[in-house]
Amino acid sequence: MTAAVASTLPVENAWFQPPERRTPPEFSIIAADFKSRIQSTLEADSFSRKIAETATQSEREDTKISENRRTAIIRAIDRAIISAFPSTAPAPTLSLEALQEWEGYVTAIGDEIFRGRLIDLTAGRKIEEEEADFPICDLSDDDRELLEMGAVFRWIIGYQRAKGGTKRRVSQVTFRRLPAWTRKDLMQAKETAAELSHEISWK
Amino acid sequence: MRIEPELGACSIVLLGHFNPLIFSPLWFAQNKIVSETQATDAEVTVVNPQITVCKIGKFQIQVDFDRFAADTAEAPWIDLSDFVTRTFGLLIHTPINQMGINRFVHFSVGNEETRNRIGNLLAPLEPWGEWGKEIAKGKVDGRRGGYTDLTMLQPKAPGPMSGHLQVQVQPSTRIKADAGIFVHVNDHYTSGSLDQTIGCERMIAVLAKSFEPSIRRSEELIDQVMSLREQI
Repeated sequence: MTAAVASTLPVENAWFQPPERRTPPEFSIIAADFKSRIQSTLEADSFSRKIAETATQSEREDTKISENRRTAIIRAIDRAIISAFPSTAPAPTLSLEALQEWEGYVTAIGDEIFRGRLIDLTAGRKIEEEEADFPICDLSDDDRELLEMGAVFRWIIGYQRAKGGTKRRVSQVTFRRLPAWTRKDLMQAKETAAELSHEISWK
Repeated sequence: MRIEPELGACSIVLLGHFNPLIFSPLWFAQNKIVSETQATDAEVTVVNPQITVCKIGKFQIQVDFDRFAADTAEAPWIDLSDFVTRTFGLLIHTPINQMGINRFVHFSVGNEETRNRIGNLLAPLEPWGEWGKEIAKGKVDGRRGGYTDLTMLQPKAPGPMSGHLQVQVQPSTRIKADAGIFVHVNDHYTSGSLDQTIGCERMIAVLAKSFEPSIRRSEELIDQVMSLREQI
């Protein structure tokens, strides 16, 4: 047995696995009102016990509680309110699980189709062994903007489920919005290339 | 995975110091992290100095002072990693000292009886003696007893980036007829105390490198839970 450590888990009221008992919607209004009242009280306290609403700007700046301290108190109260009045974020209207997934890069672009070299990720392949043509008209407008030679994309075949329970098989290509290369990345790539080049022995 | 999930999702949670006001749909579009159309169509719940909650494209985002969370229910999951990597590639001075790569799945095992037998494999009633026997008798007032939450944790080797792998198994609250199981895998990374953390370059490099292997490992663990259906 071990003590639980759970700091990067989603918040308890996440939509993934909502609690069985739902909070009535009017509670969110009560929570907002509750929060506002507590903040007013804290402000009033920090302005030498004057009522926050009547404090002038200069009096507001002349606070007895440091900014960090006040922020920490407000955060603590926020967390108390969230745990006292949990609200569940709405579940997404669509979900898509991949049955098969490939990564590819564009090798040719025609008027109606583009061609890509593919690595079968589901089969655990490391190098591209397949090639396929894809209709450009199947791409979304966003993805069409990213279509260019060498562009990296994912092709998945999977089941898309709608909130109402509808399920359909889909084939979807999405282009990756890859992080930009940093100077450090380029330096490392050059170093790796130099090391590889150095290790090649010509016979 | 041997059983097709009825609902699955991925999330990335970062802990550090954040400025929630930055994370508006417009900012994401201006920096080409999402398209202009996605930013225009974004569903903004709130963007203010305390908290930002919005949905941009397929990503749900929630940011407050000490926590950034992004999740999606639509594969390919690598898009989520690209989204976060690109975001913090621009915000490299943001101090981040902890990260969680989370994978969630709800799947059906067919019926309530099968689910209960799987529950009994994971958390047997026998060690609970007479109380276990009482629970095993069946439903009381329409409710069945048994385990409600099981969490297993494996710490990672100490080093500059330590952490743990945590698997949580619960009866699904999303699948009808009490036939579903919810499995959540949390792959947690920590680089030490926040006070001594400068920027997020190292954590984001770990994310870029570890995201897909982490998801694969999580799915293997989820598949292990799914395999219990074949053992009963």
